Amino acid sequence: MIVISFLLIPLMTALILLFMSNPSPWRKKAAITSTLMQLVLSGYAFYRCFDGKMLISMMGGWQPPYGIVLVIDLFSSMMLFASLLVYFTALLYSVFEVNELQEPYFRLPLIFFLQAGTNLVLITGDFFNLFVAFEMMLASSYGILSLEAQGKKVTNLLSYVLINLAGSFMFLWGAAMVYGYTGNLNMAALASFFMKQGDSALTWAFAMLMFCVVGLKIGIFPLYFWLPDSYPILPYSINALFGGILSKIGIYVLLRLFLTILPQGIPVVKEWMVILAIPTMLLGVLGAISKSTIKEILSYHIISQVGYIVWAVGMFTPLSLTAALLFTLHNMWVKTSLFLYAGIAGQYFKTDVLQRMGGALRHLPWAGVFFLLQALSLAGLPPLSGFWGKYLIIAEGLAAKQTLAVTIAVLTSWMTLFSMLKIWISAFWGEGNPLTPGTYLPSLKFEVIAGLGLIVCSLGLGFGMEYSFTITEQAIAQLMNKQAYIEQVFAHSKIGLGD
Amino acid sequence: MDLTSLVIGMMTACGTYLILQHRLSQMLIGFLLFSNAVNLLLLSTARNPDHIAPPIVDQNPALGYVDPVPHALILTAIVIGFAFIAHLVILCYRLFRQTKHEDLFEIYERMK
Repeated sequence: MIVISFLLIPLMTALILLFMSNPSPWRKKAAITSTLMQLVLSGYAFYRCFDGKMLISMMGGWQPPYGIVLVIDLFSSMMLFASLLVYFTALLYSVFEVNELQEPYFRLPLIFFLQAGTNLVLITGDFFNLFVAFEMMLASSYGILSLEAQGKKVTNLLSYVLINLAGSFMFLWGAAMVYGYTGNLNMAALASFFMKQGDSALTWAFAMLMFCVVGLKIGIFPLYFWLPDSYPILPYSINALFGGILSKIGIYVLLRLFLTILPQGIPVVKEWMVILAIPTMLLGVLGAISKSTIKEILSYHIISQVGYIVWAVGMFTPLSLTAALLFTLHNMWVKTSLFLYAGIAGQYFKTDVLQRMGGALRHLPWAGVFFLLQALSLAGLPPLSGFWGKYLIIAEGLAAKQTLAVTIAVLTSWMTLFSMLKIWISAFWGEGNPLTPGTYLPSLKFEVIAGLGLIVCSLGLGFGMEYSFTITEQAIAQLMNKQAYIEQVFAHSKIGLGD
Repeated sequence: MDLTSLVIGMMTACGTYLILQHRLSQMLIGFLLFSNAVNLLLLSTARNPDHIAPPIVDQNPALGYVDPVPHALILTAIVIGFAFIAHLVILCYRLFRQTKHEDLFEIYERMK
């Protein structure tokens, strides 16, 4: 019951919001209540999964391997909690950011369809269902971007739609391929098939195809140009949502595929991950340095941070995977709050071009302080949460003697610090530009308060590293133990795995 | 069966070629071909339907049933592909209406 509610609540909310008149004082309240409800539920799911049990729900009573099963394990529940916290904060922030009359009517329902999609990606235990959930997510993101694409911005939308369309057909191709090859779509059945199968050319081809699909979504090296092109047309709260969630959902699918479904540590794909991660890190941060608006800089940083995670997944040791998960959680929270707090300065000056800003710290002291805190965390200064993920990844890289990747990672980290401080110094520090004095709106104060949840959680992640490391390590250990996953999913099935 | 795979291969090749072109109409047809190629691939995983009964339970045929799952999957895939391509058509139309061009280089030149 608790499992299916993560799909039903957002869908119901979206439908209710579609039928509510605008402007209505209840629209945003209903949205926030629904997300808060799910946040609490995901906390409960996390608590239930804590001892290694999984929450399993068989849709319509159809038993695996034939029916669709929804599975929440520790990894899923962590990602659910993290992503719902991002949704909650971004929605709360958007209450103060945009006036209801100026907001497009369909944006709020579309956000909830997006939420249903991301939640379903996180809880599904069926490969084709994963495809459908992914498409749900993409379709709503097309909708949200289309609402913003007025006038000349249509070309930015076109690059997003074209590349993701190609990606979805490739995903479908993968689903067809895996069904033709194994005769199954259930993830546990697939896992058991690939375990018996071992290495084969088809497994490699499937793994490579799926790596391309996911890589396109998360924006690794040759496939990232659409991301900084399309995200900056969104308002800050939605940009934060997209930056914090969509690419991290891609990371979830990557881990789920290469840890649960496919044989662990497929040699060629692993090497390609490391090879592609290096230019991803470097070019992402170089792109950020070359840009001069807040949204573009932060969007490029999404790419360079994804490079770290893909590199860690490519090394494929328990410690590096733990670091990857830790880094993903850190990134979801920190990246979102950076967008939100930089957005406060952006709204104050009514522009996001850095040259026309300056001296916001005098009027917005807390926004400046929190932005600096999260910026230092993103750059990886101890004891903030970004340091630990990076430290573990680089330590594993040194242990694996990948000197080039380690050098690039350290360099990237240093340049991240540089470009984050560039934003801080030009937006918050200094005297300010007399031509653009900025206007103080009372709502900015509430926006600072709205982002506090993310600040507290990301600080907790960093300062409580002993606990957060233990939990993520446990989640990765559970993911790596495929046999337990298969047994738990098939525990209530009378049909069993068959031959 | 061989013919099906040949058709799928041809459609994918043509689709990929057309997607890589810089005219909007060619790109659209490319996506259509590509999506239908993937749908055919899904269909082909249901094995050859020659001499095999459709999946209706009381018929009790000698040679067995066609696998019904790919058909269900295709239905979903067609709906999703259709919706996305419809969205793309509207987007292309809007670009065309704004610039009166369908060449992407021209469009980007004008939309700067």
